[in-house]
Amino acid sequence: MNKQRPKYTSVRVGDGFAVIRPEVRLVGDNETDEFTAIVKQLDDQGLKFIVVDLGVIDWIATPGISALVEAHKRFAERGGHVLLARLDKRIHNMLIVAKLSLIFDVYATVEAAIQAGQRKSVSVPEGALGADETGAGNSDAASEHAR
Amino acid sequence: MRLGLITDIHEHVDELRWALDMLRRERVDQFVCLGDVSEDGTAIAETCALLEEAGVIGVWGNHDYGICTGPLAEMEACFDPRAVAHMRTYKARLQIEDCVFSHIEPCLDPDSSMDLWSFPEVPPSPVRLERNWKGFAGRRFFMGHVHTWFAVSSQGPLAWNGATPLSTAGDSRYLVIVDGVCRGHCALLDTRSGELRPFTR
Repeated sequence: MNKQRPKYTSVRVGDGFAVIRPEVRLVGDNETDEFTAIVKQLDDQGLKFIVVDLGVIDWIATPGISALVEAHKRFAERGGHVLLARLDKRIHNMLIVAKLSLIFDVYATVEAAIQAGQRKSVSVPEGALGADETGAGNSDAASEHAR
Repeated sequence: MRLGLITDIHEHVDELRWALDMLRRERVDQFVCLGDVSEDGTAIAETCALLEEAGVIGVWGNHDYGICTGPLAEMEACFDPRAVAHMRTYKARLQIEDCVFSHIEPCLDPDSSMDLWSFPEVPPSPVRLERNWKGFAGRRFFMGHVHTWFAVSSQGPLAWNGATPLSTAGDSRYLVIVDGVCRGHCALLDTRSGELRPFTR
């Protein structure tokens, strides 16, 4: 993990996965840079998946969503996964209106996301970056959204 | 033709009302939206009612891609059906005369979420610019997305920051970024004279 303790983000590393929880809204300032740096480190470690726990924030600005998309892109390139948990309704609606709900698997709890992540295999799928274009999102997971 | 250019509204209803009123006073023939009407759907009904009433045509942005192209039943279940109907009229790109309109750079695919969510360096590198000139067929390209004013011509960079009118006349090709309605900006483009006149609230 980073030698410097994160200021705006909590990170819990498990066996082949990590849970990242932004403690403040991702609006494109230092907190978003920190989030992106942590994602890069975890990707470099070759983790199978990360769960982004959005349970303590009620809003993400465009740069924050862009950081989530970038995280997805990084992990998908080598067959890994980025799962989202505990989304506020406003954030979930942003994903739907932007069609990102077809890219991200969304779960009501962190535990549900971890269990789903552990069932996923790590293999570079054909067209890993084009899931939205093929409509190959996880609608079952999306329906687990509860908040 | 006098085009009223609006972009990056992000459901800022008051700013949109100002932009439409300002451009109506300038007697525009057609409003063109360069994308990102949406944010989280909270004010999408009111936003789209204003756009519909003004007869706005447009292109989708990264924030609109779902409401414009996603599963219709899901969108109508989540958002006001009349707003969804308006947004479904938006295209990936529009061309009016020799002007091309898109939310993102010409070298990117507005039908790809990954491309829609990538943000360009401003100013673009020479390599990127070369790709952008090859990415559209018209003479002038107008985009939003970045929430700033910027212009470059095929002759080189332009010292322009949206504080004064910009001439896009002549034979040069132009790539212009229009600043967002959510930040209190809009523009009038006269396609015949080539003048782009920015307005700030």
